[in-house]
Amino acid sequence: MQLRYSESAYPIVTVQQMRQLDGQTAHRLQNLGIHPGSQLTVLREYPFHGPVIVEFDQQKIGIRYVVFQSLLGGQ
Amino acid sequence: MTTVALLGNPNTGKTTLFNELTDKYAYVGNWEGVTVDKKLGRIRHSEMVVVDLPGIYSLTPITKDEAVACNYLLNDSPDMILNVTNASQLKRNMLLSIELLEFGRPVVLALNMIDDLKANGISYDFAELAKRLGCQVRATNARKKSGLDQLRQELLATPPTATQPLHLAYPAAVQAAITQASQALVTDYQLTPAFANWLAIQYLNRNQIVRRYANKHHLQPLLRHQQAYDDQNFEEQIFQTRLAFIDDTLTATTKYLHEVSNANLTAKIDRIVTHPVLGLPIFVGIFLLMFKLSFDWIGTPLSDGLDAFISGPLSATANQFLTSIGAIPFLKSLIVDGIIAGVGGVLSFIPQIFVLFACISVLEDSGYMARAALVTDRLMQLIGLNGKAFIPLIIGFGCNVTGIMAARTIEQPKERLVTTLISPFMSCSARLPIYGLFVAAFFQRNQALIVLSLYFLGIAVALLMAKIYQWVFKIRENTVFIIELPKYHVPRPDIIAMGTWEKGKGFIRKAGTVIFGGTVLIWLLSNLGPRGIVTNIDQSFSAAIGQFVLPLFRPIGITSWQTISALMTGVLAKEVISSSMIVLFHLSGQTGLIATFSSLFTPLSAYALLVFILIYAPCFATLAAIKAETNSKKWALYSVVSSTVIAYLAALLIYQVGSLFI
Repeated sequence: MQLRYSESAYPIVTVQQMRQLDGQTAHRLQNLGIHPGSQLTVLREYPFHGPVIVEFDQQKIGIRYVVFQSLLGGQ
Repeated sequence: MTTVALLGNPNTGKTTLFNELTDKYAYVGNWEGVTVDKKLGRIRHSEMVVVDLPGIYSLTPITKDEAVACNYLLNDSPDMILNVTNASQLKRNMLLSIELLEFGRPVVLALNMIDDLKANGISYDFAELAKRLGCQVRATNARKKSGLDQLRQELLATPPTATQPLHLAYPAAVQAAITQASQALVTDYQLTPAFANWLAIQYLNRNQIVRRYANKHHLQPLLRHQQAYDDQNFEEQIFQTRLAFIDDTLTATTKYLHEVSNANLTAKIDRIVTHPVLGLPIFVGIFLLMFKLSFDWIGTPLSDGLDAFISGPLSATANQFLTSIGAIPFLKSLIVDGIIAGVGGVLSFIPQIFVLFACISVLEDSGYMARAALVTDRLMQLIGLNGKAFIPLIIGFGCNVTGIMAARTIEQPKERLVTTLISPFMSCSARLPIYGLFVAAFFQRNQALIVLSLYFLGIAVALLMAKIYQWVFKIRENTVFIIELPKYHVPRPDIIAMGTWEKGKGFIRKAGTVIFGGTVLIWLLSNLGPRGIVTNIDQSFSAAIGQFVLPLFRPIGITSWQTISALMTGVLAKEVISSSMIVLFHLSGQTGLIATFSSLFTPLSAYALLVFILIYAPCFATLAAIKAETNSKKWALYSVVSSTVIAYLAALLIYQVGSLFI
């Protein structure tokens, strides 16, 4: 679905993999519609490795920094 | 009688819809997990019963409240399903819709919050969507009450007969396994084909609740192959098939409109309230504002007026009336000095409590709660909890019982237990009357500030205990924390009013039951002694009990036995402390209560007492909730002992250290 409704200044990242996540987190993210290949718009990253707000499929969610990093491939 | 199960993702407006469709009112909030248990209501002018179930992302549950929904489908078998979806997030909402369509009961799909979808410049071809899914599709906006009449008609008109379940083209291996298992279930266990089919899919999909159900009923056709199913990773294949189906369906039914409204209020507000630096100060500011409204600007003046009415004209009229009908002095004293003074004293706090509840309702309805959870997550992580634990704690300001219930949305059992155990430290509204009594007597100038300090002290104790529990229970640092940030709503006055009433009516009901009973009890104990009716309260039963334990409490600055007796009644319900105090002190000294206080307490000992009241043993209702949620009496007992010890230590510290300086 092409639902990106504005050419925002926010960075867009692609989910690389979900294998490093623990079972429950992976399950919940999957329920929300995130899968390898999903495009996430990063709206906000809190300092000191705080939560990250991402937007995809018209919804906004807050996730933890470690989860965000491992979605990107764990760099 | 037909039953309709209301199912859908969290925060899609199920409860709002439920309230609009039925006669019964249920609690609404703008965050995930408002409904933690099922609620029943009847559609107006009909025999149709609607069951409101907790929001779920899929039938495979992670949290305790999500399990309620899956168990309901397994055991109660509703006649129809009303699947409420957030129209602008249809893609992920449909993951659940598919599971419901596979269940084989008639489904009505409500595309709720349809206005948001239009604002995004999108529309769906409803007829095509209905055809592809094999169900009725209706657009609604429950908050604006549009599309509801049609939805109600639709529900009443749909024949509650089994329909053809939705069949997805699962990969051949998966499909073969489903067919084989469900045929065996139909022939060997007399299940209906539709239910057997659904059960098999859910079993393959590693739904723990369904797997437990299969174990319990010894469904061999499924149990036998569990290993094989999991080895072939059927769960992943099922997920991929569903995702592909959703993409196909949405691509074929989406229509793009030309106008896109750019008024994105949510993004603008979020830029400020979720700001990395300003977020926390704003959170504290919102709370300060809440307390200023309740205790300085609106609540207190109204409460003072009500109090003046109860202790003035009402009390005098009752006194005159009782004298005129010749009531015996004992009875007259019970009614005027006991019931009117005691229960009336507690009731005069209604305005303050309702203003506070209205503020909490506004926060809940607007969508700010989820942001509060987000900005506090980093802080909560330090004590082994996550931001989501903050919501039950804030709800605990209203009532610890509902706070403990709200903890069900937390994913990890250990985190849930810790949240349950620390919830009673949140200063609930029942403790307000006693704060009010003392701040009016000792801290005239800084009422809101003193009360706010108690609230924050409660939070501090809760966090400290959580840290200790984290260490004792060995909770890992990194736990699940995924929170949806819903669109902001302009709070709807009637939802606020209903929410305020829903939270506050318990307080009024308690005034008629527990508080009334407690007041009468303490009055009787203070007017009766070992030798019958006493005229001097110092010879009464309550004096005897209070005097007995008084030495223990001297180190924290309590010098009067009346205070001890009042504290004991507080376990019935915290409001009873203030009505007991009014009765006890009113009986002993004929001067005003506040004047009596100033001879018995210093500001320091008054504050130490308030701290003790804040922290000590939870009330019976809260203890019952702890027992129910933890499934053990031990935790309830532990809560009584631990909180009383902590309360004593905190009050001791404040009084003794404070005495050095004042």
